[in-house]
Amino acid sequence: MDRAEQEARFQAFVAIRYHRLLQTAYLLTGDRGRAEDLLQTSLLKTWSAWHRLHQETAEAYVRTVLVRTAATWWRRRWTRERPTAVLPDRAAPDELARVSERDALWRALAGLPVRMRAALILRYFEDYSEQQTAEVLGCSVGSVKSLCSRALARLRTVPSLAAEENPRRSMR
Amino acid sequence: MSHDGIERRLRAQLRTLAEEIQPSPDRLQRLPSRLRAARRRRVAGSLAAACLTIAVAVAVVRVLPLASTTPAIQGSSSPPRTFLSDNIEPKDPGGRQLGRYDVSTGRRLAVVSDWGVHRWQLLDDGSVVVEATLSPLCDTSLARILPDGQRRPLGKVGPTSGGGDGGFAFSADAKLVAAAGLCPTATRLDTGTAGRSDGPRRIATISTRARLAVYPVGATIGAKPLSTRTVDGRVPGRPVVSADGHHVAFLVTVTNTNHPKVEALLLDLSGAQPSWRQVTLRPDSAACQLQGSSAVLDRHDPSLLLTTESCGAEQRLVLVDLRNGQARTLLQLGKGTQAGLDLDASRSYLLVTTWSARRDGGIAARLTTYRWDGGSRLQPLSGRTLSQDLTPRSGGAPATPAQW
Repeated sequence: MDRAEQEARFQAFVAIRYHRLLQTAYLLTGDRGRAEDLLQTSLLKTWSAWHRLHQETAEAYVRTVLVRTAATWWRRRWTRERPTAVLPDRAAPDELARVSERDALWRALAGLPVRMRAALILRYFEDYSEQQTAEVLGCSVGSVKSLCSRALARLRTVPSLAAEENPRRSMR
Repeated sequence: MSHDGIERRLRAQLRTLAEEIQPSPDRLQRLPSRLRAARRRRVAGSLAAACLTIAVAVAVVRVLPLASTTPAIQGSSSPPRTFLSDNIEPKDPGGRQLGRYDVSTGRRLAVVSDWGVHRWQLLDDGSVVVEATLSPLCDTSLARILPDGQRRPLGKVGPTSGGGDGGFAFSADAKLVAAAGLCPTATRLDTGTAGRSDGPRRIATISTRARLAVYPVGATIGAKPLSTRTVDGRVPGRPVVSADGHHVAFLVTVTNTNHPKVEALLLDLSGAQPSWRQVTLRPDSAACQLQGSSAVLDRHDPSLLLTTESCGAEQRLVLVDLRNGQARTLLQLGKGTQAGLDLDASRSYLLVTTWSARRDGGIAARLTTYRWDGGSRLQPLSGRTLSQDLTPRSGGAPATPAQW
């Protein structure tokens, strides 16, 4: 396969899968700009290995790069304050409940360690099996089960996720 | 433990969250050019690695035996190619990034810090020192960003800001750091109108005091300063350390008079005990006002200092003789609101940024590079208007460039 053909195939792959991959990156980072940067970096890394990838495994390869690059960025992140000229107040009185539920979930996701968050997104957004998730994360199936179980336990504090469980418990 | 209910709801809510993001067309359009650039870099990298292997082999055979007797070259013999500046982060309108920029094109080459910093300094080893936190206001912590991106906390240096002025400066060998800033001392309640028409009311007046200090630096900043001084009624600019690290100049603007004037508080560290001297700087024309927020010292003669003055709308570069405080105009920098000065690692090249107001209300920045052989021997090399997104702050502490 010559270079032009490889490039055309890669661009076709990106055109088809970009949106879905961007959604995964968004859930991993929680920030629009970082998601775009993360995906672009991952696609560039994938491009350098494209000549030895099979069409069927390419998407899984990008996802693995996404998760591992996100983990690297997370380790290097700066957690101190970021000066802002204007406080990001949002006035949305009509959708207050929805916005607050959404924020609660974002906060809960952001509070998870990076591998736990990645395991959760691969399992419950990408619908990966435990085996596939373990391959992407480079760990055992048991570790994936443990990561997901602990992540779900933490997310029970989010009202919108725990809402339907409490009545059942109270009925027992 | 069964997770059936929460798993189902989590799946649904993750999909809802993911729907918030849509691909931006410009990113997709730029991707092919990024791919080509990545390919070029890979090819260039392979070639560079091959060349490096050959060069190292040649060096091992021919150069290294002479290295022990060959004196090290002091500083760079070529003008600075890059500088540091902060800009508004396009994706986060309130946030800022500190980046490394190409002097000739004004393009950003790398992000040094992905969070906003107010002051920074490039050290000779390539690391960048930034204000890590301004909280508490009167005891700024500094952090060092190593060339590989690692961040190391350095310790505290007292205040480095206040009203936007002040700052810090390391010596060339990074063995000491000078810091200057304002700190509130007392709050007084007075009765006044404060411009209101509905009668007198209580007004809080906050007194401030400038603190000037020099700390020793090892792996971190020493807890005890080498010397410190506090002055009232004066706003400090960024301190200046001489090339040999034995002299520190703190320029302060005296604010409690009708005609603001600039003084230099000079600290001599060459003797057994630190000694302070004070001199009032005099502009070469009564129509001009020395700025004092940014300055550099002559690398050969620490009694000569370059700073700027404003004469109406005109900015001028002046050479000040610190023995008597007399300033002398060297160059007219053009119309502008403010100017910032910095030297490169060899102390042979001067980088001057001038800021002026644009007609659309924005700020235009221009960067000019000079060869400076000390004294009045100044030779312009290049000038460039910086791109619109590179918007240094106006007013307060000048966001001066620093050569990388």
